Amino acid sequence: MKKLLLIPIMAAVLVGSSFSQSTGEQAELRAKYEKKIAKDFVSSGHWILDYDDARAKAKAEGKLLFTYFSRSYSP
Amino acid sequence: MPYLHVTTRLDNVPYDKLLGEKGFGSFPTLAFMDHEGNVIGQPSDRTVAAFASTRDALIELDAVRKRADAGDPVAAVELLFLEFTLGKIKTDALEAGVANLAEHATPAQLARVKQVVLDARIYALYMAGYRGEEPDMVGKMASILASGQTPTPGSPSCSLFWKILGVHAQVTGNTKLLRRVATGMRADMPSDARLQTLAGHYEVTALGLDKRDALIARQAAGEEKLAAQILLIEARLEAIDFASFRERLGAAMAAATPEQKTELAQADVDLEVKHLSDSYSADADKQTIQLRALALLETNPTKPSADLVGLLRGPIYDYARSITDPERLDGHAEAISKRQGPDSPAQDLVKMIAAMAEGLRKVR
Repeated sequence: MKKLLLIPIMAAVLVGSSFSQSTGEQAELRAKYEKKIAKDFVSSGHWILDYDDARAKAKAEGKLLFTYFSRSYSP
Repeated sequence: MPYLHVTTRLDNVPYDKLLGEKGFGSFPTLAFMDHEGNVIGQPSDRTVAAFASTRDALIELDAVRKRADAGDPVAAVELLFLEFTLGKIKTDALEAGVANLAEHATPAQLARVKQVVLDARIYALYMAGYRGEEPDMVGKMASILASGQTPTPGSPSCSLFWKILGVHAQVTGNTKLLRRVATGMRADMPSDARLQTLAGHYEVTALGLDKRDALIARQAAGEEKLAAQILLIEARLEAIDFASFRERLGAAMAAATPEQKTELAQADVDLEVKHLSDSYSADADKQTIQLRALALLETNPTKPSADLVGLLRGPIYDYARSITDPERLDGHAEAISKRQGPDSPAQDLVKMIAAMAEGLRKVR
C-alpha cells in the first residue's frame, strides 16, 4: 500500500520540480530579453520591436523594413 | 523602417521563430523585407558598403525590371547583377545568365561578372583551405596574383586574399611578395585599421629582409661564412618557419661566431615552441608534442624565452591529466622548476602540475 502511495507522490514531486525549473528558465530568458532591448543601440537606432507594428508602419509610409535578426537567449 | 527581431525562446512570444520562417539560420542576419514580410534583399556582409549597395539595388530594381521585360537586353544583364547583389541568385547563376546574354552585354558588364566570379573563387578557395580540402590554397591565391588579378577592393574576399598572402610572404621571407601585399592592403582596404597595421609590419619586415637579400647576393658571388648572419636576420624578423630553419641550422652553426651560435640556439628553441603550439591546435600527434614540450622545459640545453613558455601550457596540461601517479607529476614539476629557475613564468606550470598531483592524492 505504501509503495502504491509513493508513486503519485514521486510523480507530483517530479512534475513540480520540472514546473519550477521551466518557470525558472522562462524567468531567466525574460531577464535576458529585457537586458537586450535595454541596450543603447535599440533606442538610439529607433528600432521597432513589434513585427506587426513595423509592417503596418512600412505599409502606411510606403517603405521597406530593414530587419536585424538578433537573439537574447545567448550572447 | 528599422525593425529589430529578437529570438527569445520564451513561451508564447509571437513570431519568435521568424528567423527560420524567413529561411535564415544564423545570428546576426540582416535583410530587407516588404510590408508583407517578404524578404526582397539581403546584404552580402555586415558592412556599410554592403548595406548601401543592397539599398541601391532595391531602388533600381523596378525600373530595370521594366526595361528588361520590355526587351532591353542590356537591362536584362543588369537585372541579373541586381538580383545577385540582393542575394536572390548565386555566382553560378549570374555567370550562366550573363553567358547566355553575352552578345548583348557591354564590355563593362562582362568585366564585372569576371570580377564577381573571381571574388567567389577566392572565397571558395579560402573555405576549402580552412576545411582542409585544399592543400594548395596559398599557391592558388599566389597564382591568381601572379596572373595580374586581384579581388574587388573592400570586399570580404579581398581582405582574406591579402591576409593569407601576407602570412605566406612573412613565413617564407618573400621580400617582393611582402611589399606587394602591403601595397595591396594599403590601396584596397584603406578603412581596415587592422590590415593597415599589418601592411606597416610587412613594410618594416621587407626593409629588414633587404639586408638579408644583399647578404645572399654576396654569398652567391662567392663570399663565405654568411649563412649564420642570413639565418639570424630571418629568425629575428620571424620570416622563416621552423622546418626551414632546422634545415639550414647546421650550415649556419658551422659558419657562426660564438655569439651567433648562442643566438641561433635561442632562435631554434623559440621557433620550436611556436611550432609545437601551432601544431597542437591542428590535428598533429598530440602525445609526441606533449613529450617534446616537457623535454624542452626539463632538459633542453637552451631554455625557451620567458614570454613563450605559456604557449606550452596546453600540451603540458593535457599530459599531466593523462598521468595517474602523483609522484610522477611531482618529478616533472621538480625537473621543470630546477631547469627553468624560480623566477621563470614556467613556475605557473610547476604550480599547475603540483596542484594536479595534490588532487590525485586526495582521491586516492
